[in-house]
Amino acid sequence: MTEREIAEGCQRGDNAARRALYERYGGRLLALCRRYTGNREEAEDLLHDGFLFVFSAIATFGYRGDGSLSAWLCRVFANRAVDYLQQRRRLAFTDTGEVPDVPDDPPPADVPAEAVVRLIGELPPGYRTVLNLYLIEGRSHREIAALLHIKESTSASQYLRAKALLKKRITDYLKTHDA
Amino acid sequence: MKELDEWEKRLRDQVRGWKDPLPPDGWQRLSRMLPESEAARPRKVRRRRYLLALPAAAAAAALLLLVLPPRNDGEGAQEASAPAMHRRPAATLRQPAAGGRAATASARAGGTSRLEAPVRFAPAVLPRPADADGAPADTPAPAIALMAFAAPSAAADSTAARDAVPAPAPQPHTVAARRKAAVRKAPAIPEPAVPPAAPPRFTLAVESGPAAGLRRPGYLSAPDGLLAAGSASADEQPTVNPVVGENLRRPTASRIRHRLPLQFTAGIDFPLTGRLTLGTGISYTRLTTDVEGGSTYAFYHTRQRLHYIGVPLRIAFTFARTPFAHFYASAEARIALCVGARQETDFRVEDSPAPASTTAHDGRGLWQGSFTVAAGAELRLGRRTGLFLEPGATYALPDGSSLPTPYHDNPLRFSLQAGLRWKLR
Repeated sequence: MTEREIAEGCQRGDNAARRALYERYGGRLLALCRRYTGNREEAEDLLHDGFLFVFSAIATFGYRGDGSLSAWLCRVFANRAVDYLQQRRRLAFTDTGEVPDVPDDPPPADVPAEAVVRLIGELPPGYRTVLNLYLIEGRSHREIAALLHIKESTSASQYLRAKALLKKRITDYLKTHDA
Repeated sequence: MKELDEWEKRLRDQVRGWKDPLPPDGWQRLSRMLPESEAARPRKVRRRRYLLALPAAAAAAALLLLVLPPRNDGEGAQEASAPAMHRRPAATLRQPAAGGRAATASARAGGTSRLEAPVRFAPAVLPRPADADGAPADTPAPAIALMAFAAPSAAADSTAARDAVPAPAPQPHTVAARRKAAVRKAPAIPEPAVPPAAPPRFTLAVESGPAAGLRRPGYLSAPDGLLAAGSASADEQPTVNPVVGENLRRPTASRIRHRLPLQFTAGIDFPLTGRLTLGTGISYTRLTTDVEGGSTYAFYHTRQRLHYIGVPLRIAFTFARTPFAHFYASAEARIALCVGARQETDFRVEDSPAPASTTAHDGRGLWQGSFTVAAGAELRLGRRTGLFLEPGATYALPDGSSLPTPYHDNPLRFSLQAGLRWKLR
C-alpha cells in the first residue's frame, strides 16, 4: 500500500489503511516519543494518544507527494509531545551546570542508533526538547521560541548545552563499551 | 535553512531512521478506541417532507382530474368541448346542419352530451372580423361559438329538446352591438388541448434554492488539497497544514457556508399529447461554498467554485388550464458533469507577516445526478410566449466525493425555477 493509498484510506475510515499507517510509521514515531519523554512507558502512552488524534484529524491532511504523510505525522507527534511535557510542567529552561568541554566530536556512527535515542532521552527535559526540535525536526530557534514560550536566545543556548552534553555522554558511552 | 555541521547531520540521519519495536498489543488497544470515521458513516438524510407536499399535491390533483368523470358544466366541460369549436369554427359554420345532425345522433347514441352540446346550437351568422394574426374576416362568427360555450347545456339533457334545434337568442340589431354583446356574454376562452402535432417550445430558465450551511467544533472532513498546507513554514515542510499545527492546543471550530446555487437551462419541449410534454436541453450550474476552520489565532478560509454542465430529461403533465395560464406537474432527471473546479485556501496565523495560500482543483470530472419533482404555473404573455414558475423538490444523488456542496449537505432540497417559453412556430 502506497503512502497516498494509506492516507486516502484513513480519510475514508478504512481500518486496513489505519493499521498499515500504524505499522509503517509507529516504530519511528515511538522512537520520536521516547526521545521527548525519556522513557518507554510514557512514550507508548503518547504514541497511543497521538494516533487517536491523527485518525481524527487525518481529514485535514493534504497529500503533497511521497514523504508528505511521514513529515506530517512527525510534526503532529512532536507538537503533541511538547504539549504533553508542558502540561506536566516538566520543561525547565534553566542553564544549570557547566557546559562540558569535549575536545573532539565523537563519531555517532560508532554508537548504535538505539543508544543515541536513549542518550537523547536521558538529557534534561529542556535540553532534549530543544535538541529534538532543532536538530531532528529541523525547526528554527524562532519557531521553537514561539512554541515553548521562551526567547530565541534561550532556545539557542539550550541547544548548545544539549549538544555539548550529548557529545560528552556519547564519548562516555564509547569509552565504556570500547573497554 | 540553518547550517548544521557534519556531526549534527550524521546524528540527525542516524536518529531519524531509527524505529523502536512497537508494543505487541498496541494496534489492538488502538483499534478498540478508534471512532468510526465520518466518511465511513452513512450520511444522514434530513427528511423535509413539507418540501414534497406541493408537488405531491399537484400530482394528486392531476391524477384526480384523470380518474374522476367530468362534470357537465364548468371549465372542464368547456375545455373538453373546446377543440372542435375553436379549431374549426368556420367549418362548423359552413356545415351547420351536418354538425348539428352529427351531434344529435351522437347524443341519441348515448354519447356524452357535454361534448356535443356546443355544436347543437344553431350556426351563427355574425361575421368574424379580421384578427391580428392575419386570419381573414369571415362571415361565420366565432363569437357565436363562444356564446354556445356559455350557454348551459341543460337542453342537451332534456329528452324533449334533444332533437329540437334551439332558437338563437335575440340578437342586437347592429353588427357593432352584436359584437359587443358577444364579447360581453362570452366566458373566458378555454385553451384548446394541444394536439399531438403542436409545435415544440423553446425554454430559458433559471433555478435556485436555499443556501444552507453548517457549523461544528473541530475540523471538517475535506478532500485533498482543500485543506492542503500552505508554504508558511520557513523550513520548507509544505505538507503540514500550518493552521492545524498552530491550533493543537486551542479549541477549533469549522463552518461551511453555501452561496446561492444558480442553474441556467436552455431547453426544448415536445408535446406528446394534449397534456403530456417531454423536454430536454442543456444546463449550467454554479455552486460556490465558503469553508472556514481553526481558531481565532490561526484559521483557514477556502472559497470553492464548481461549474457543471448537464443534460435534463423532463416530462410534464398539464392538469388545469385557464385562458391566461396553465398548471402542470413535472418530473425531471438530470445528469451533470463538473467541468470546472477551484478551491482557493488562505491560511492566516496571527503574528504571521503574510497569509499563505494554496489552490486546488478537486472535483473536476465528477458526475452529479439528480431528480426533481415540481409543480408549475405558466402565465401566457402572448400567443407564443409564456412566463413560468416552478417550485419543486430536488434530490441529488451522491457523487462519491467529499466536496462540501449544497448537494452533499442537503441532498433533498427545495428548488425554484423560473423562465420563459416560446412556441417555435
